[in-house]
Amino acid sequence: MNTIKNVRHLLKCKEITCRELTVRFLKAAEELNPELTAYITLTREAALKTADDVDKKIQKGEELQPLEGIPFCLKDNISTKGLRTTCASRMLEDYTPIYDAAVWESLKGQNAVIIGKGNMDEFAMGSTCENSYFGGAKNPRNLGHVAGGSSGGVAAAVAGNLAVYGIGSDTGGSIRMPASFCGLVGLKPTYGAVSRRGLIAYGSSLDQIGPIAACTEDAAAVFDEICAKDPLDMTSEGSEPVSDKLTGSVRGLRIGLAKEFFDGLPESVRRPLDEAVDLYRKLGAELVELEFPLLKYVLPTYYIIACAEASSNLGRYDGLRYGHRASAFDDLNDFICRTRSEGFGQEVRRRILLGAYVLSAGYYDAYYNKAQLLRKSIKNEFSKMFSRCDVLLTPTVPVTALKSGAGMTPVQMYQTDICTCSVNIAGLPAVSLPCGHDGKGLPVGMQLIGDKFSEDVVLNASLAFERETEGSHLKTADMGVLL
Amino acid sequence: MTYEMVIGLETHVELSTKTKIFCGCTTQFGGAPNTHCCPVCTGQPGSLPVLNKSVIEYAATAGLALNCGINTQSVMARKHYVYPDLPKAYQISQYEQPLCEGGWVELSGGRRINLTRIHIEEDAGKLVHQGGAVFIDYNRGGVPLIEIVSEPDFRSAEECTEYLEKLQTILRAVGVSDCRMQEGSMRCDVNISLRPKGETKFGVRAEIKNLNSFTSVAAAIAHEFDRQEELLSAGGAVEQETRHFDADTGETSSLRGKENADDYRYFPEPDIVPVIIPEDVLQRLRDGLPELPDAKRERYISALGVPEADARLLTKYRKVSEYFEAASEGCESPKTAATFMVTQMFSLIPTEAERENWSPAVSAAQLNELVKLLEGGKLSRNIAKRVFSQMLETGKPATDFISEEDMAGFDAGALNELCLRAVAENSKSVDDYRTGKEKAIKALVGAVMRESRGRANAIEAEELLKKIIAG
Amino acid sequence: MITVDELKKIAALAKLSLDGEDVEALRRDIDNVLEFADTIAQAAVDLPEEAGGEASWRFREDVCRPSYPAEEILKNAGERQDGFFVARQRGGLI
Repeated sequence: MNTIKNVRHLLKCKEITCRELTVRFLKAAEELNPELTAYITLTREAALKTADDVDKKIQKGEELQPLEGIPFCLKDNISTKGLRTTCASRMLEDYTPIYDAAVWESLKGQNAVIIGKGNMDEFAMGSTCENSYFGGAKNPRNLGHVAGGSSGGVAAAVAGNLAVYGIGSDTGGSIRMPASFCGLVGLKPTYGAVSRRGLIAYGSSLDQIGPIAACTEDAAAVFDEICAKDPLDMTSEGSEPVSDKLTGSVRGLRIGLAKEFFDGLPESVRRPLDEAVDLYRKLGAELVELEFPLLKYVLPTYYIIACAEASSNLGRYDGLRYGHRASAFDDLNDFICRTRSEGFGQEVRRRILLGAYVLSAGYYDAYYNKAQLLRKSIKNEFSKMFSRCDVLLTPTVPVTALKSGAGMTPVQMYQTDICTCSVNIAGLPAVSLPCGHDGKGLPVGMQLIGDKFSEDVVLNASLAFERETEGSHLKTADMGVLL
Repeated sequence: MTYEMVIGLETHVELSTKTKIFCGCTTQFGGAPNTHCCPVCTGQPGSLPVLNKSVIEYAATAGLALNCGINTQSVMARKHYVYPDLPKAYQISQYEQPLCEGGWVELSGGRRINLTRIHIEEDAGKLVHQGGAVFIDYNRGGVPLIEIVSEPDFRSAEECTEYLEKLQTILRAVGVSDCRMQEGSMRCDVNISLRPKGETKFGVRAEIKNLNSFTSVAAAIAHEFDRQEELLSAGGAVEQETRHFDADTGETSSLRGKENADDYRYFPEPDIVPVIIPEDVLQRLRDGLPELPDAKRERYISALGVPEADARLLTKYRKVSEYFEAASEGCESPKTAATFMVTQMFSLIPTEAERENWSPAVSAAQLNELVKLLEGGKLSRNIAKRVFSQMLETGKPATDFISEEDMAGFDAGALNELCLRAVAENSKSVDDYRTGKEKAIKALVGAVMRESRGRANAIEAEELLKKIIAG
Repeated sequence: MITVDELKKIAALAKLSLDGEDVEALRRDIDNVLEFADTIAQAAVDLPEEAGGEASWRFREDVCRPSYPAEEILKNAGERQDGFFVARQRGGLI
């Protein structure tokens, strides 16, 4: 399995040059992408240029920065100057940003090698990655299944060994769900830990950038490089690096279990989670039974807020400054309406309409306002739970990777976010890590939720599990670059 | 039936900060199209607003100067509407928790116009319509604005324009805006309704958008009063609607009715944390407030003895009052400098824009020197007047225009001699005066002044002449 | 229940054309989601006192940063002329 540590070692020992490494990843991506659709755009030139810079440094014997020379995949809703950024939408099919996202600034600044821009659900709206204008990403663990959404392409690239790690974004589970479906570690940081500047907004009060990686230590290493406070994002707080704090011990850790998260869970998902709970008990963690009665209101609360913010954030796509343009129209208003209806896919249009509806005069109080009140209540309920435990253990998704083209109704689709989206509502950090398999050999994900800015606590619990199970659940597919 | 108009004003004022409200681009007026722009103020995907500290300070200062309460916590909100000049399809403004609430502006009659609120928001870009196309320039997009919302307290167009002038004077005095209507840095929406005189309930109002001169405000109100009066008198009803004023025709026309009213879908801006003003910052702003125009005017009148009309002129523009205070510095009677300015300078600097900029040919120090020469008895008032107009023409100091003869003064003996001669040579005027024509004395005084080439003191001459005639 | 007329009004507000859209199917979809969203109506909200004070006096200093060249700003525009973005009142086949 490729990890940042391994690849770094190979580079440092000059077992492989960064250029050779990069060429191998690019070549594998070119070969496999028609099948996987992990990438929307391969950024060959940028990758090779960086690789050469890294090789020069290695030749001179200079110290490498933590992510220097490591090939990675960047979700295609993160702004990259001079590199096409589409949000998997026809609307931005030909859009090339004129500025860099804060996260990409940091990574570029330390010569991280960008292999390409990762596929996703259009504007990050979806749970399968099938809402991509460029076709959905396949799950490398089983090509008949979806990679999960919305950062599905990023997870597919990592699980298919077409990148060592990836950077995704998570509004209601978009890092954790694909991580869970593809058997990877995905960290959704505390709201404000990572700058959102340059992240093309879906739900501004919910969006957060984070890593998708092959193991916990990689997720921690990437988080450490992107968690600086950004004065140009007013909601940015920044966070302390966590890698040095990880001990792998959970002795005395209070792990909370709220039964509502496990209601109606299929046996195939429940079993690995039960085993994980037993294992934590064996490792000396204290298990605390909790209640989360508001869970039943979490999904509507989430969708009302997310759609309201999305309808606002997506108003700017009018075809005048960037993006798709309608060619036939009656007048300027008609131009804007047609541009938007042609440029946005069905799910995006649906969420824009929902969002406009819940904000409109006469409905605002019943929907948006009520959802905001519930949001506060949900935050309070989490605070109460975290007074009694350090980490909440839940399933990441109540199901394993769905079959491609399963054709669910919108509401059925939304239900898959039930365990993840409350974390975004409350702005908390959570990690999803593989804890076993269902009957069909598809990975089952376990979610560990922490209190604000306790990334170290959740990652530490994740690391403890990984070590105790000797990484047996960490596995990438048998494809791509196997170093 | 006679009707009374009820008017409320919403006034938009651009703040004169160096940079825009949410990015570091300059707020300078003009510039080649789209050259004062960045990803934030053109709404590029993923860009985020970062609130400018000076905007909050300027807006709070405006609030303090207008007697508002300042909310130590306020919230930015998104106001949604689609128009090509608005790159994000929402304007970042304030809605439920504005920065300032309450407040008032006092008109000359002592009547107070109450304010509802003042909030901060961003300006939109500029559109040029040409042929079948719209040309868009975002240089102005993101320039900070305050919107000052009044209560429906106005009952005439005159009150409205006086209020607007007052706002201009105050906001300029505290240095938060240049309030230039011609450059669009001050604009006004008028909400107007009519009701029968004596009625206490409000009628249905029309809103006239985007008026950009005092004359437009007055003309739009006049036209709208006539239109609504005609409607109501004929038994019709006024529709609640938004109207446009055409400055060329002087008429208002309907833009959109109530059924097409915008649904702005306000909600709190998630990209901007709540605006908190700590008490120490607020105190610093309070302490930093300069003397306001009303207080200054009162001081000029009561402490400096400046006539009220002059005091009004001198306090209208900050630069003018600064000039006056420098010119009268250390003088026995500050009123003298005021008189020079009002009688001889203002006529040479007739436009409001020039007065606002106030850069006369004569410096305040030069005028100060002249006033001191006069007060020291070195010059007569008449000569000083002559010298001052020569100074204004040339920009040169007083000493360039004062001859030895001017400085020679004029003793009592010489005055007596000239007065006696004037009485002897103007018997007609003397007779007229004796038969009760009081004004005839002026002709005699004029003769004395002429003969003395302006050096005589006219008041002394008049007294002496009266004495001589009375025998 | 959302009606087709309401849906049309919302679409106009959201600047989406419903041309070529199966309006009734869309209405049903939206209606289903709203029905699901309606469950929050029953939620009793019991909020304790606001803790407050999480924001602080931390804003941008009023210092100019260089703007972007106009050609960068206009780079992704479909139509531009003399440094302006251009919008057309009419276009294409209609």
